[in-house]
Amino acid sequence: MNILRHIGSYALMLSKTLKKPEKTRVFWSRFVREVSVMGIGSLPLVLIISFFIGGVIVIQTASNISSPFIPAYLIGFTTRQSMILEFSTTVIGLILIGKVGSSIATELGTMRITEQIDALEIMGVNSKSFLILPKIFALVFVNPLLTIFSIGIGIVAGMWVGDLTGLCPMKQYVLGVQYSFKMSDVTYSLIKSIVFGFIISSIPAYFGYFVKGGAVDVGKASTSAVVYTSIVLLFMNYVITQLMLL
Amino acid sequence: MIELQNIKKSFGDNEVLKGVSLTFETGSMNLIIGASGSGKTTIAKCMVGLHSPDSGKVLFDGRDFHNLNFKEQKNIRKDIGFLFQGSALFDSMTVEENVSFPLQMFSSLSKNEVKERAQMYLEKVGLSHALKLYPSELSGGMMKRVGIARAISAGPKYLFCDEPNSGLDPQTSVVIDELISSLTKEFNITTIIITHDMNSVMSIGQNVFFIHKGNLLWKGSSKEILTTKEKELTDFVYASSFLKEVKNQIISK
Ligand SMILES: Nc1ncnc2c1ncn2[C@@H]1O[C@H](COP(=O)(O)OP(=O)(O)O)[C@@H](O)[C@H]1O
Ligand SMILES: [Mg+2]
Repeated sequence: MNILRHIGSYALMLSKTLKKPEKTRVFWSRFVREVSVMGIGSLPLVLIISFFIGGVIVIQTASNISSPFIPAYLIGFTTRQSMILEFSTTVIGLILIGKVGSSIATELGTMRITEQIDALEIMGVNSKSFLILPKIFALVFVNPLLTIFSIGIGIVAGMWVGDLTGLCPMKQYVLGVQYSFKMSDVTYSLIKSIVFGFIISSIPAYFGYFVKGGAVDVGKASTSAVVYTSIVLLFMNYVITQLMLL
Repeated sequence: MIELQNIKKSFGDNEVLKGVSLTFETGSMNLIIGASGSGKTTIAKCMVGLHSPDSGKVLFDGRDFHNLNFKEQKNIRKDIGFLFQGSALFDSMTVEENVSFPLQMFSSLSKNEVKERAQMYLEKVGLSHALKLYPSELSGGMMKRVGIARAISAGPKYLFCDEPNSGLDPQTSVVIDELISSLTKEFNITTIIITHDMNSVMSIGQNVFFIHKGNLLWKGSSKEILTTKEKELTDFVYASSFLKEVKNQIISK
């Protein structure tokens, strides 16, 4: 019952959020700010994580290939596929929930308990649209770019690691990265990252916007936001995968 | 003119407002006084639609606020300035941006005109030196003054101030009271101040409303307060030992 009620008020919130902004100029300036905070601000984290994941995939794949009949270029192929299909969308998504999602919930929750949201409402501003819409737009825009960035870093990191450790010669690796490339995999990945961008911004916004109480409740809301957003993200990951890859 | 007719409001089992009726004339200075927890903030929030009353009406110049559609409510809200008990400044914006904000959202003024206006109001509240500071860098009194400047920057018809001088030193309190009072006269605003500061009541109270446990117990002018026989009100007015002493001395003379 509780879950249904939450879904209902989440949908209601979205219907108030997805409205034409009162002042387009103000909207775009907030959008740009969110893009730089969430997008550019997440670059270092995405870089580090993608680098290590790319490296680890190469080592793991190589250590599982013992037969001389399996060509080494498969290591490059596997790294590319793993990054595109799962790591650069789902893993990066889960990490962004911890970084971006929790900060959205905390920011809105703090604005709620310090009556800043009430102040907006009294002025006649649609506070949902004003506060949440730029965040959703920004993350839906930025997340696919972060995904592409992550794929690139992961593949390059794999190449270095393979070469330095001698597990996979660079020539073979590059061959593998190009082997049997399907554009549809990239499309699948980008669609996931767009959907995830929407989830990672809107669900934490819901938890933050409706906080009641004090600082402790803001903390709790932020934790719930991370937990529930992660569950929804993994669920949607399954749904999209079944729809697109089967 | 704002009229409240028989407003009732409960939070769960807690019956906070038990049928409050009040009238605030256009261009008048009104004070709502009462102990902490008596329901003063709840009255103000019911008036502007942050709470919806369980029953009763709020009329803004005859328009029944809680029965208007969203757009009409919004039009009334654009005429309301509200100073929150905790100031509620936008902490991601500078002082100047806070004060410009209502103008930027709803006026057709150019960027430069908005800036000039904001600076003019900040000058009025004595903060022209703090334009570029963020709320976290301000003292309590400065925050209240920014809150006032923000509340009046869009030229409201109705001004609500929730405890504008709580937590301020007596001198700053006086400055803020005078500021609100002069703005009320200058712009013919209907002003409603919530306070439990007797000093404000005496210096700027034109019409005073005493709320006790969710009921309007007394109304009158600040002069009449001194001679009232209403027990709850005299208890409230002479709560401080200093005033009690003064009162006793006067009586003994
Ligand atoms: N949002 C709310 N939810 C539940 N109870 C509330 C809420 N706001 C106020 N109250 C209760 O209403 C009563 C009056 O509060 P308030 O109007 O803030 O008093 P005042 O401003 O006169 O100090 C208090 O008992 C308070 O606990
Ligand atoms: Mg109060």
